[in-house]
Amino acid sequence: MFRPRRFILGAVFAIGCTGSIAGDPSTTPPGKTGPSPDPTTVPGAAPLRRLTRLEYDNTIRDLLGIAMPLATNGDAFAPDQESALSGFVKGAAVTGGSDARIFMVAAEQIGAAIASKLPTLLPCNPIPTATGEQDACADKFITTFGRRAFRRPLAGKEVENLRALYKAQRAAPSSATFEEAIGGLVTGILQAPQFLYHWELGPNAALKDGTLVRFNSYEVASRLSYLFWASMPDEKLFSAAEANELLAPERIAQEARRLLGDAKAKDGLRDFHTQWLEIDTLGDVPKDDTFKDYSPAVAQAMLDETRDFVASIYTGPQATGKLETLLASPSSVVDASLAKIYGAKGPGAVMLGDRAGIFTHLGFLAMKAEPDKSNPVKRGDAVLRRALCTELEVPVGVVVPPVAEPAPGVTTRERFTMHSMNPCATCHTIIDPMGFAFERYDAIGALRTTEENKPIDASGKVSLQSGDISFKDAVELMTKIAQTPEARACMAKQWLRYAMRRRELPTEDAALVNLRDVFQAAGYDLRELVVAVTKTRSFTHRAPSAGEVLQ
Amino acid sequence: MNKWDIARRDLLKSLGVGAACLPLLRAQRAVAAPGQSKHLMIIQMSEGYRQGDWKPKAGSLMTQTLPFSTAPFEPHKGEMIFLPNLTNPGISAGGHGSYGVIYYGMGSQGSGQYKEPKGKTLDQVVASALPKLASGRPSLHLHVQLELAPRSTTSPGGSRCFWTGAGQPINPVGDPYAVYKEIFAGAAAGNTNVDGASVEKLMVRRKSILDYVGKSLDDFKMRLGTEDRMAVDAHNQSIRDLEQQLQSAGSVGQCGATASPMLDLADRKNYPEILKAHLALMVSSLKCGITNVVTVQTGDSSGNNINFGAFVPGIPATSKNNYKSPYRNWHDLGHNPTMDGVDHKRIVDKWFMERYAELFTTMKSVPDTAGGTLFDSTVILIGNHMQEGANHDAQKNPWMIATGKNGYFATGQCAASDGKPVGAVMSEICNALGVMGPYGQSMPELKKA
Repeated sequence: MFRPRRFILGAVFAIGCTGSIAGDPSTTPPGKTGPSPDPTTVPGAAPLRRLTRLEYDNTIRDLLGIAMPLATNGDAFAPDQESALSGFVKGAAVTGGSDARIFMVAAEQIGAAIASKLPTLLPCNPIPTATGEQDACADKFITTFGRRAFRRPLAGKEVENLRALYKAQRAAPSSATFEEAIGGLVTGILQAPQFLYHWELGPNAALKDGTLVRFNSYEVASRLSYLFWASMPDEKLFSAAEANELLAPERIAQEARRLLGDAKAKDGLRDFHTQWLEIDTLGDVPKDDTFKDYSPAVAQAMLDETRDFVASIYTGPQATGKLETLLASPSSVVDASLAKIYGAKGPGAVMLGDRAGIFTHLGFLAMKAEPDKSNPVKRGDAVLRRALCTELEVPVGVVVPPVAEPAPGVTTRERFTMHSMNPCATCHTIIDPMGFAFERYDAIGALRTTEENKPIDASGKVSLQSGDISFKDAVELMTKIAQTPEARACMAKQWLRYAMRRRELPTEDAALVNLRDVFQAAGYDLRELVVAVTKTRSFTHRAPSAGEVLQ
Repeated sequence: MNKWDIARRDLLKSLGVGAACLPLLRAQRAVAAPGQSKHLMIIQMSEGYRQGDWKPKAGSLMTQTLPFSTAPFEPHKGEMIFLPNLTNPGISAGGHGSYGVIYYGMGSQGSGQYKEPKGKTLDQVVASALPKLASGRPSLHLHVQLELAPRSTTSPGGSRCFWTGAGQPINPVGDPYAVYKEIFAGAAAGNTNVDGASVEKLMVRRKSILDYVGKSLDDFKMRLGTEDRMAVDAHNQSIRDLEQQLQSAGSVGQCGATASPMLDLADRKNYPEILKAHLALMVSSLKCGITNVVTVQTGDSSGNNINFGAFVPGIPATSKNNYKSPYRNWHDLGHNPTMDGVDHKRIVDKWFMERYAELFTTMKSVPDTAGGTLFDSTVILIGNHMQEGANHDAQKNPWMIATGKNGYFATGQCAASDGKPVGAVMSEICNALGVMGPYGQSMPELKKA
């Protein structure tokens, strides 16, 4: 049984803003910031978070020009963990020698792999042979490579520490060659907290803005690049940061648009959407052997479909950017294996008359199902939480009774309807109708018209604050949901949470109101929504952490 | 041998240590008072037990026959305490949500479904209080196939039950072969089959790099808030532990440790072999003075990913319910213990007790350096975070303690523990280990008169 926590939707924008933070002209750089779209927003503290596995691999790729997916392949790196109840993840905590060992071994493998690439990484070419020139080259490498690895200029002490490391490597008993010592520097830098954690304040004093801290240009550069690319900033971002241009919301938005238009945005968009849909582990989910069309490779194809579908909405000349497309479009691009399951002519671009958007794609439907059967609760709950931001939780002390066992002649809907007539009905009458809408899709998302020789009934009615929605199936449900203020508001909230990796505070309602207005004015264009996220004070500012000494 | 391995003899040679150094390592172990326990072993179970088949009658165990699932403990019941129906106060969570705080016992934090402790859990309370060891392993944490799909949640509280502090879950290791190599086979995770001089060079370079990393962490944390500084401190401690592990790698020798096999960790049929290897590693690690605290997580808060049908006789390979996964998994067994008229849950409960009875027997055969056996000097806690999978009751936790009967505890009883808090039990465990516990509660009836 579930207890509705916030079933009435849409209230989020009705809450009044609290507090007003005046800028402190003595600490805010004059002429650099520009007006904030949500000046009354008071954000929370930014959680310290380590690079996720995807971010680690992408950063290594962009920093060193090598593809070594050490973190995302295999089980060595601990799984990412939810960050501050945001519904999105951060890198797992480092709490034991075995964790530190993983980073050490990975850094050593990477250090070994770049040996042949040193001429392209070093600031001196050809590689000098004289010790003095080598030392000078190492000095330059420390500041140039260090800036990219730490995502901001190094403090004097950081340079000194790295110089000491270089010298220790060169001296007896290590007696490393120049190339080996550079490899040692890289190995050390890749284990340093400045590389592993998102905290690019660096040697600079925190920019005080009233009681808040404004992220400096380097911090904003990283926040942008990890939001859109799940990776480190490129040189253009570094240049903008160096010129201290990334304090003004309009300039930040300009960079956001550039990043969103880059091919690397596919990574960030995929990351957001697979986490949002909770399908990132689909490839590991077991299915019943009777599904001959399903395999890990097919599961990967489903994830690829999601990635490509999302990319087609946000990027490219054909992109509409529309929320409606994301939630209700019948079109997709599929490979042969998915075309077979969809019953469509493929591979390639397909129009799927019996689908409406990403929640009716195979990836979501297969993930939110049992191995051999659909599961209306999983599907309904996910749509409520992730598309409508309605969260339900199991009350303490309540025993959740099992759903009736499958029996001949009894459909899934009938089994779950019995479930929702027991004491759990209070909430299952909310969840289940949403889930029943997807009953036309089986455990791997394939269309079905009957179950247990009975026609599928996917009709129902759900109640939102904006009104009731009656539907005959998921296509009609999702088409209508796409038009609701609840879904629009929720999308803004989810992107904001992803960008912050924490939950919003009540004092951040102004940011959400601003996003709603921008989203509406843009005709619910998701691209404008995400760009607008980067202009909010929730993105550009933070509260000081408890116990933090602002210097 | 993996190409990244370093031959043990090369490592020993490079470190300039050999078998002669072993007594030095052991000499740094805790010096315990007579009768005082020196080690803590925690085995985390999930989904409760079928109470009618697990719980003995209150009182002496010696005058009764243990029920069905705990029958394997008959030979050991004189050295056991059963603790039914322990509460976990102030957690405001159901059976799954309490997983992360089961060894905290002083409330929880976080508003999500899966609760987190506000400080260190019992294992770390004990590990930080006992004398430091040369191995760099204040505690050793293992798991059995915890990360296989479908995972119940990405929330740390759903899969981590040992914590170094608030927000600092310990990531257990799932590969017994890797751990065995690190500790007993001298594999310092180095690269290539190289000679002693190269190994020495590598070790020196690693030391300078890890020194740099440690310094960086010290500097890095100065700009952070209190909670984040704690996270960085934990990271820094992990670097120090790693340094010590690398320095001591190989010096302990094989120490009669049972070699861990190389296993396919993703093959669900290998669950028993992985568990067996982990238990052997835990015994070896205590015996050889590698650590004084060992834990193993046998499942996460739900156990959706375990296929008991793949290895427990009498359990079908698939569930009729397909609850959470196609397997006859722990969660499925919890909610649907009986299928086709057979109570599979109690069979699985018993299967685990058989493994642990074997563990006790093994530990009783291992001499302890201070006399007696490893079993005598170790407090073994088999914990669970809910009474029974069918009710998910997080306020009636069934725990068991096993240890030598000449120690602190009044063993051989099923305690009248209904409604007593887990903190009181953990207080007594701390007392048994000579450690000051933070729990502020007690259960004098567990202590020998």
